[in-house]
Amino acid sequence: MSKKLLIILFITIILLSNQLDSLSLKQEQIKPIMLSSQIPASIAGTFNHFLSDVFYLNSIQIFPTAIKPRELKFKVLINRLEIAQKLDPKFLAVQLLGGAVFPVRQDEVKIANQFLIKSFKENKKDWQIPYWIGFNYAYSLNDPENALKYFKIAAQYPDAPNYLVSNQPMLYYRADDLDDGLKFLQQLNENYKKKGVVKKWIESKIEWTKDLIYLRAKADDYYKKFAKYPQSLNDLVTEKFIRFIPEDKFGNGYYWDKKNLTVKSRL
Amino acid sequence: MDKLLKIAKSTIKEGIRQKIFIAITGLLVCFVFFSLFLTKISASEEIRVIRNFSIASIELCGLAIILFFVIQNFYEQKYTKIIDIFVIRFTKKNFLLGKIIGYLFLLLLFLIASYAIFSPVLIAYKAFYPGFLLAILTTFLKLSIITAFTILIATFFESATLTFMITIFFYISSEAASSARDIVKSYGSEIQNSAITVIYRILPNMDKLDIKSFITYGDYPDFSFLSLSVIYSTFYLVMLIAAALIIFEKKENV
Repeated sequence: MSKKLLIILFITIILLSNQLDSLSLKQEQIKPIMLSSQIPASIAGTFNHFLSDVFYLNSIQIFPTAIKPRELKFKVLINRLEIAQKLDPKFLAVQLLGGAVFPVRQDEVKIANQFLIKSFKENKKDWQIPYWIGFNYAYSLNDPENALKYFKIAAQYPDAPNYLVSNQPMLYYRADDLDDGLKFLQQLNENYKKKGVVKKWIESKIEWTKDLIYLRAKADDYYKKFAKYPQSLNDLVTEKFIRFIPEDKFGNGYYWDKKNLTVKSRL
Repeated sequence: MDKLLKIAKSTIKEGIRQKIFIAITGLLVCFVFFSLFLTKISASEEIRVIRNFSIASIELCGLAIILFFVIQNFYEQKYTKIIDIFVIRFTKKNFLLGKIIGYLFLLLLFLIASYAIFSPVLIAYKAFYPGFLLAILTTFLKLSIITAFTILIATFFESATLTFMITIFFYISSEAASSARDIVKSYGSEIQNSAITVIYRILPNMDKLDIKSFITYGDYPDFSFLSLSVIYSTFYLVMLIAAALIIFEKKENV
């Protein structure tokens, strides 16, 4: 008798659980709460790294959910990442998610950049944070002045990759899209009113890009005349397409890249 | 010495036979599987997540051993008056010291077994490095202090539930004392600042015994930091054991 009763009770519980499932709040109806970053930080003790992971994983879990409106969802995401960041300021993946992966719309990028700037105050160890701030300013917030400021900070780190020195134009250079790179630099130069080191840097970068475009055009002229590309840039001098190879202000000299049939700088 | 070791041995035997010991080990195995799941959703942070999760769960399971085995075992002997028989044969001092040694050895055994259980996952995810051996040491030191504190409270109070609650409170306050001190330093008044500093100095400084932050990034603590931590925790442990012995010796009815 008692065994039967137990089985009946057990089955009823399963059925009720199933029934409750269909009645429970839909994901869209759930109003997530905003948490204070101070509280977890003050009680975490030596478990701060573990708790930081918990909030990081929580944000990953929230990302695909259908919390509405979208603004609220993004604020919750940033809130969780702020807590994770407070618990472990050196946790770089948190800054990457909040500052560069999650934000899509411009208003989100604004919030994300504030988050990154706050993170940067607590973690000055990694070049990636100022780089992402600069990236957001350059690509989403259309603020080249601040973009350059942060790119320059990032470039000063000893472990920062070399390309950060010339960042943006470098990306164009790598993509072999020098014309757009030049346009970007000229626009940047127009917007940047202040005179000083940054202005000089942009101007010399423009000259550098112009040199590359010029040499590339002369190599094309060489091709038109001889039906083949030059073996080296010296061929352009020998055949009098140019008088001399211009000085490379950023690298260790221009050269002809036979593989990609383009002019490169020894960076 | 011989009597003391006999008590320790019997405590170890009791511990291994206890179901709670096996249950907590089983829980740890569940944590290992859960950690595997966490790596799947960790967005390329598998090494970090698995390191933090393993260390945190091992420490919490160690704490569970203290809360559910040490307290239960000690009070069981108190309530059933087995202690009285032991005390007649072995003296109070030998009995208590033997018990503490037994509990600490069990704890160490559990920690080593826990790391062995987690090792395959840590190795598989390339998250293992020799720093984990230091983590065993520091986790053991932290939990030893908690064990000694639990015994001290158990010698004083007659209620197991009360000892359970005080131990949890002691653990949380020692863990949070450092953060509380930082907060009060930033926002508190002069008096509050002095008060929290006194509390922080009295409580065991768990932040000084912690190398979890090093483990997360695969670093090693300085030798001077580590050696001073070991000395500090040894002194704290000896002080707690001495206090427990004094109280236990003075008690007429144990």
